[in-house]
Amino acid sequence: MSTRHLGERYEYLSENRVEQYGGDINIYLRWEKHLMFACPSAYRVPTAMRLGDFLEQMLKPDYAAHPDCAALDFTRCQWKLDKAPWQPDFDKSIADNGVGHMSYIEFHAPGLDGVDGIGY
Amino acid sequence: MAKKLGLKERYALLTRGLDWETTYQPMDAVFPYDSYEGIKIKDWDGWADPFRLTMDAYWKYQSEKERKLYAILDAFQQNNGQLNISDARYLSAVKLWLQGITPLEYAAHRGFAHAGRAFRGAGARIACQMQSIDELRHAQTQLHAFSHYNKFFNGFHGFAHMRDRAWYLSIPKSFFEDAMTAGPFEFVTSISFAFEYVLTNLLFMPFVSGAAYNGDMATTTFGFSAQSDESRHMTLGLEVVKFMLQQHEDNVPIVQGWLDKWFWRGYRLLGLVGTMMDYMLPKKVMSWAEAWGIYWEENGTALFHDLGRYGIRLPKHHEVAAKEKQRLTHEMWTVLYQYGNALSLHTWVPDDEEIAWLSEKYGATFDTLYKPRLLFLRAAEQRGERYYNNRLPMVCQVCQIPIFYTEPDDPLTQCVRIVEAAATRHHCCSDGCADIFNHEPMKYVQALIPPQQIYRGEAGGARDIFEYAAWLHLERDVDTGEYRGSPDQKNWDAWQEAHKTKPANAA
Repeated sequence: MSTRHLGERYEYLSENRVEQYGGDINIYLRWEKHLMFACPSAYRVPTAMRLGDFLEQMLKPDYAAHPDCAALDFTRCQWKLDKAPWQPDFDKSIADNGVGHMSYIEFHAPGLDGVDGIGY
Repeated sequence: MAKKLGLKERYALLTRGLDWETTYQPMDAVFPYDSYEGIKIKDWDGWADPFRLTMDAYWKYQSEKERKLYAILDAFQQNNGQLNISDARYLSAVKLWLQGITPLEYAAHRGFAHAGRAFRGAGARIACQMQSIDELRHAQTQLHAFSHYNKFFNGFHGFAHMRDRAWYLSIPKSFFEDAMTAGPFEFVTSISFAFEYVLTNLLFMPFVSGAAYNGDMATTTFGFSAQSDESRHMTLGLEVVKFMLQQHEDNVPIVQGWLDKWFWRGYRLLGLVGTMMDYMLPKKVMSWAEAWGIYWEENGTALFHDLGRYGIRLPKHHEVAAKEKQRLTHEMWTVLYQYGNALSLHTWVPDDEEIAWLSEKYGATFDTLYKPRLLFLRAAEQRGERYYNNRLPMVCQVCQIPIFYTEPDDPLTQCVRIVEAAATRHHCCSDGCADIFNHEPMKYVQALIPPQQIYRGEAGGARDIFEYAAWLHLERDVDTGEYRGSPDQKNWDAWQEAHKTKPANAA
């Protein structure tokens, strides 16, 4: 489907195209069953950054307010990338893990089901 | 002496006799906008305006209302009416209206001016012209009604600056800009019908009744002053939809598509209003779930059944709204609560009495899913660890709401839909928004999404939520954040105390 329009063309680039990020990319993550963080979180990251460094240094501090955070061990989590099952390699870069611009990563930490086990 | 003309005759002369067929240029070149959407009109004179308002009558009615409104606003100000509201927390609702809704009135003024120019039928042009003037008046009277609060409370100061910058105001702004950048028939379907006719009771009733319940005479009076305009707008909305459906059968699927889209966009926008009803009003009117039940599930669906004779069915995804009605406002309040560092209004955990009210209205869903969350947040606050989420969120590419909604059949999993266009992935909050995106991807890839703008360096160079709030001209913990302990609360408590101790014979 397409937009009805006057004039010859109605075509645009995405405002959020990767070229706008100066070599970095925009990615999103969600910790399942932790709705205290109401929305998936947005990040701007360099693609060459080691995935493990990103998770420990950028992502984890954002979850510090949650009582489950102390027990969060990324190596024991189950992962999805853009909704498909995914096995990340923490030693490799974000790009080498197949994570691209506007990728959406979800992870589940077995045994950690939120405050009082209510998914919050 | 000529016989004085009746209202009906004067209206007929105004809307049937005053316009003409152009000859220097073809009509299609003069009015290009009213045909490109595919709507076929055989007879513009089929347009009937039940109000048949002429310009002289219009000016007379409006000026009378204006005189009454400003007399009451003057009295409200001179008598320190701000001290008679239920609680200073109520003002979060007024701030939300000023920041989010008043700019929409102004946008409607612009939109109807454009639609009025675009239609070749004089009856439609006159109706749009009057509504355009109404909307400008609503923007002005709201600003005048609310301006008094700006002298005493924080967060009212920068609504015009924030309109084009604040993440939560991009929700109403994008709603209207989506409508204004469509053709004139879609614009009037979206605003006059879907918004004004189908959903307006869910906007006006909660705010104006809420104002009355909470002692806000300024807003209540403005509401009454606008009410007769609103009923005229609603009538225009129904008229325009019937007109399109009656003119040609090819119009039916186009109109149905717009109703699907604008029902969903309107419903998403109204989540902010529902949250205001359930959480911001210290004295509650009714719950969001009750209002949705009465104004949509009963009245709204009855209207769609009436339109069934033209081949119109209920809008897509209405059943999702039904599934969400028990959870929507609880989810959204915790979003506002956690991103409170970038809001020009205060948030808080409801007190025990309010939690009991929510329990009564929402039953087991609230008690098992949401009440424990509120109690957790309260305990954190009491430990001195008031919770804020300072990481920017994922935002829906269509409704521009941070993606907090949960799956229709699973209230514990966020609902994210991945869509792709212009060689770039984008995210939507629902199947409803994903449908809208996929129908017009080239429109929505142009959207300015606040967290993405921040990360692209387009928000004054802000790198995090605090620099972003400063760019919005918000002072931390004065305009933003928690209500308890805020200057608004301290001032309010001091004024109430002074009021109580004042001798009875003092003015």
